[in-house]
Amino acid sequence: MEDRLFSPVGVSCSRIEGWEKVSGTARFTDDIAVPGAWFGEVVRAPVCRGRLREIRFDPAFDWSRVAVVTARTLPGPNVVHMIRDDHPIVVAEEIRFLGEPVVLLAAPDRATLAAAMAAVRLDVEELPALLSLDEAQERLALSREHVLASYAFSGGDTASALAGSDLVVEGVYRTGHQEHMYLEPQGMIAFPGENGGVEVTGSLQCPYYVHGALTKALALPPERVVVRQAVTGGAFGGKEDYPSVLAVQAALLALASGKPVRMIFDRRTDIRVTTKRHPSLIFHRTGVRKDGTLLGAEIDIYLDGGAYVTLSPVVLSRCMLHACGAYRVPAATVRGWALETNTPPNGAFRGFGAPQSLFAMERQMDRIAAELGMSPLEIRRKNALRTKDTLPFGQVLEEEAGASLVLEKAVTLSGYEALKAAPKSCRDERGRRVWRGVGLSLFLHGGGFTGSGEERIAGRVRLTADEGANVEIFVSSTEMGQGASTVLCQIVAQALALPLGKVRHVPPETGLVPDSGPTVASRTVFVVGRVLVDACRTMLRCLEAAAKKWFDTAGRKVYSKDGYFFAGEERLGDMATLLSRYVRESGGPLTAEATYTPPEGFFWDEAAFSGDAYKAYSWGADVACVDVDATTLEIRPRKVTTVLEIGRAVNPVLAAGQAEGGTLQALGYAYLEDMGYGRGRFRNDRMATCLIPTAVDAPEFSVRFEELPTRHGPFGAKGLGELPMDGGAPALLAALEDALGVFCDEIPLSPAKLLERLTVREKRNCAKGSEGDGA
Amino acid sequence: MRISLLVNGTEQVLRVPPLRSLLKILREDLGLTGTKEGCGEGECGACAVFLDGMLVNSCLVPAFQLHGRKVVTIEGLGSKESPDPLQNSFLEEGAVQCGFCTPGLILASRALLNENPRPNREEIRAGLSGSLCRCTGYERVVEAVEKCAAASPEEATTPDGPGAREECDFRPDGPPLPCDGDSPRVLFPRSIEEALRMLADADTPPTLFAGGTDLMVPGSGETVPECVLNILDIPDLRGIFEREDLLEVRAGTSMDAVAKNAVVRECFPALAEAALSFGAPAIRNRATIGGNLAGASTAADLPPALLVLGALVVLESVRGARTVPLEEFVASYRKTVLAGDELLTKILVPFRTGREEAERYRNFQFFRKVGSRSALTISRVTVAASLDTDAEGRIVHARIAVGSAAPTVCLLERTGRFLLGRTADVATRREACRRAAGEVAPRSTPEYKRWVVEQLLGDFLEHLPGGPRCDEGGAEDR
Ligand SMILES: Cc1cc2nc3c(=O)[nH]c(=O)nc-3n(C[C@H](O)[C@H](O)[C@H](O)COP(=O)(O)OP(=O)(O)OC[C@H]3O[C@@H](n4cnc5c(N)ncnc54)[C@H](O)[C@@H]3O)c2cc1C
Ligand code: FES
Ligand code: FES
Repeated sequence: MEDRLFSPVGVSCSRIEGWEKVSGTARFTDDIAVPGAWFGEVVRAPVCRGRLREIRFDPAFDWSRVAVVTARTLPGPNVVHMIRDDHPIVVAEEIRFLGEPVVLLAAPDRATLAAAMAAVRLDVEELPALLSLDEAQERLALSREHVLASYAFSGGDTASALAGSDLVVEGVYRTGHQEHMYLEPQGMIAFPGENGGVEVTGSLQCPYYVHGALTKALALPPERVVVRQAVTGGAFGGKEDYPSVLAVQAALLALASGKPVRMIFDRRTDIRVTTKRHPSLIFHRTGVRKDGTLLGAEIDIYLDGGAYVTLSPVVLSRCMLHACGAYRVPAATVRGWALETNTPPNGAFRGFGAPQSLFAMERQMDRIAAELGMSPLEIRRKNALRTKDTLPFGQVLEEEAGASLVLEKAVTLSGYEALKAAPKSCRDERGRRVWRGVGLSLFLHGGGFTGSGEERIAGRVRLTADEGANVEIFVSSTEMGQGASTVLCQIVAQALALPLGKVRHVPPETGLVPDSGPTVASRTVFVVGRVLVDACRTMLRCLEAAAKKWFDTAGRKVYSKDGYFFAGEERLGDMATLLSRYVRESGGPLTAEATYTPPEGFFWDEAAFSGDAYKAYSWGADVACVDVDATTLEIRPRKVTTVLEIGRAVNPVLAAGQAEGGTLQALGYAYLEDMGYGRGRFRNDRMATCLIPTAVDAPEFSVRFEELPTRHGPFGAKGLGELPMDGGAPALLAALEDALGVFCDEIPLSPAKLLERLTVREKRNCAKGSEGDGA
Repeated sequence: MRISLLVNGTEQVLRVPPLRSLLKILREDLGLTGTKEGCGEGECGACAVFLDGMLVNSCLVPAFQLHGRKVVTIEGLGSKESPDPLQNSFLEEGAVQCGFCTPGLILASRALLNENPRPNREEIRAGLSGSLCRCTGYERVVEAVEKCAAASPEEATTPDGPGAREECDFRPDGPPLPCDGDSPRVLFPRSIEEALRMLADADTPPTLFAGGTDLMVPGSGETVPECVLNILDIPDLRGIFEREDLLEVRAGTSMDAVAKNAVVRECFPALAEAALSFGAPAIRNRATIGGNLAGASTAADLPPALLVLGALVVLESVRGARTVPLEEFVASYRKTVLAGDELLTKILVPFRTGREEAERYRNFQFFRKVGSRSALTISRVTVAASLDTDAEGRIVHARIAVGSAAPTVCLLERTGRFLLGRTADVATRREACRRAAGEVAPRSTPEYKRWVVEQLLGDFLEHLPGGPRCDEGGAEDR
């Protein structure tokens, strides 16, 4: 037994940084004590759109006590670098959303800061603003000035397919803003560095994004900017783009004051000004045969991008590429627009556009089924993608498609058909009268960056081993709760056949770690994990070469297997021993690097928006059971069965946590999380009003993983992080439809909105009834 | 002011502004950063700690209430050598992701297990409802608590360990010391009588400060008050006493104590239900019944329940005491009839059942808060009712109240009068519901709120004798 080495992939080991977290010793950004640090704040625009005429600094205040940054005093260009450099650090003249930064202030203490804030007056001329997606969509007929991005693609002859259909079904779907509500608000601390440089430490997902934004805004050479990730209290995409904004603000203030500057958002500011999930408006026209076979689809997608581009083009493209869902659509035309409005910029949020378009597609499938008198299950069975099917943008599913697998498993595990047949009106365990329903969703999610994104990023990783055979992973991929530190160590330990305890994920810091790309797009295990396996191979080859020198191998083949090195049949030694010897003899640590190498046979044409959009797809099916209180219409998800095909579950317990947490976010998105958006502002800007589910709101979960390993991920693993966000909302609305008999096409859905729908239906039924009476 | 408190077993003497929150004291003055700030307004539970063995949200506890108190934070719960069993089970079950909610969740779990070593899943969820987690979906958290309880019931509670509810034996010398420039000034009466005198002597009325679950929420108060009168620690302002024909609840009694009181549960299920569905455990431990009434909010939970029970409030000052029916206590939107020198000292709830009337009448009570989510929620609409029926099933007494459906909590007097002398047959029910819906004047989503009032009242009336039979064909079935 003792010579069996630990092979941790597939094992549910506890998270590596777990003890720090359960004992309260983990240091999140605001937990870091910085003696002498100043506090930073932002004077924000009071209107949704306007012209800044003047900033008045009250002469009665002693401005020498504080640091002030305005558009006039910037050391570099007035941009927060993201996809397009349209996002100013502070307003120079035009105000484009409520709460946009105008003046940055820092002071040695909070009282002085508050006094300084009160001593700034903004003279603003208010201008007409574009405040809703509907309005922005309507305006497209007049002008295209507010288009942030637009794409289109077509597969097959959609017009003829629709013309030749037995039935064309139309639907319009809407989704709202969603707040990330990571429990730790945004926070950043900036330190003035030596010779005019700057270092920042903060709560963030993508150290090199922040680094890029800082070098640009501060006009500094890359080596004079250092970005470190502190322990990060949840992100979900919300700390992908926004930390660049905050880091630039903090860094400017640190340089202006010569002091470290802390900027930690309170919850209200965080809700008001950081990015949200893009609201969407989606039009579907689907042509079907009487037997339910999909023939053609025409889909128009409008996303509310908010005031600046941020990541909207990429969100839009993922949204569009997932628009036909997990179904075979022989002819499809998909058009998409990301539109500018005078609202806080919307950005990355788990799923990145896919939850919106999958919501629409899943609801559309239910609508088609209803019109044909088919069951939601039958129509999905009939059209679920199969291996070798072609997606509307031209990609052929070469690897095994998991759609039918997850669908059937979810149906069996949940007892879907029995639930569907059960009486809709019953009493719950508290004896309350409820309408009970069950709903189904089927979905897929492409892992890694869209199109040739991974090729462009060309993620790099490095491993080092010391004399004690301790291996360190240097990547810019961050742990933010999703378990990256643990699973990356599991992957490396497995690839090197070392005990898990020998491997460590180095806390990311630019300069120290190579750029393995941002921690987004479910790419950390699937893509970065794969590159790490390549680096492990390099390390093994070094050792094999060394073994040939050290031992008399006499022409026998030298190779490593199960943690041992062999020459032919003879065992030369184990991994740890050889590693130690190598390091000792070479007089320094063994380092191995690797860069992402695109797999053969993939091609993406960005201009034509066609080709292989993703290297591997993960698949999922949800069955949601819901109770609707018959006297109050309160919505209560009871149980969700979720079956996810993810290639390989590197750590099943951590993976289950992703599945459950992501699904709950998706359920909240559907019925609870209403930001009360209207006229440019979020009415619900506190945790007391901008609600997320509590433990009592959360349903019971039953999670099951299926594994169809991909050749392109480490040990067969695919992306997982975002997948669970895709299915919850449509499954819940389908369950509500089953319970109440009303079709809802809009989220978030509240009891008040449900009542409206029920009333409309009743009126319609009454009208029909009286017509009948008359006849 | 200068205060002295015991934090994780170590005495700390601090000079702090009186309203500084325990959270800020822990994090910024003592460097105990395991306690987290997720919202700063009592909603997330990331800042939960034990205060004299009681789970509280530290962001809502002001410094001036800390003198002589014992605080246990996550840092004081367990060590790597001897961890709390919950720390292990959270790790093993994967109940930790980003870890920001974790200290608060573990302390909330500890509080739950101390009180209930063998909770079922529903009790676990309710016990953790004040601790928000955005990462896990709670499934693994529930499992971790369940496993911990099942694995070692004797270890599940740590009676002498942190978070044990015991008399605080920590007695610093003397009271908290005021310092120059304290803002606000704080008065510490030790009896109701002393409080009344202080109120009478004040030039401008001081702010009465009880559990602080309203007052400590940022943006709720105006500016910093000039002077604060701490009424939470007045011993004779707390407690529930059974009198001849009524139950006397002192104004400083916590929601938790109300919810758990045996007499309340037996005789006033509407009140028990209101107190039980109130906030979350850490809030119930601090929020007082007096504060809930004095806030005069239409969304407050207890007023509808107390109104239908015919409760009276006792308002005292050095000028004397007056007893006012609760319906006269709230003057208008967020305004009470309390004079500047008055203190709400008692809430009197007359017994309806279990006494002589019980022979002749049967009493039925109802309370239902409808919020936007299932726990820790502000009322969107609340309906309470208390009805007596005679042997023939005729309604001889009817009080119905609604919250969040008008600027103040209000009694539906016309609907109540309509019901008198009738039995709850289908026609009566239908008419009563119609009248009730017409008697409320909600501002937001009025159609929905009217509908809910109608439905809930109908639901309640259906359960009265002489009321519903399924075969009567209620309005419920599609
Ligand atoms: C997270 C959270 C959840 C909540 N959930 C609920 C809920 O579910 N239902 C609900 O109804 N409320 C809820 N609240 C509101 C609040 O908890 C209650 O209103 C509570 O009862 C207030 O009591 P307190 O002792 O904390 O009041 P304080 O904040 O101390 O005082 C509130 C007001 O009452 C006055 N006052 C207090 N005691 C007296 C007295 N004896 N005589 C005269 N005036 C007095 C004070 O001067 C102040 O104006 C919640 C609050 C929070 C932060
Ligand atoms: S910080 Fe959220 S409850 Fe205290
Ligand atoms: S683990 Fe992240 S909020 Fe709970």
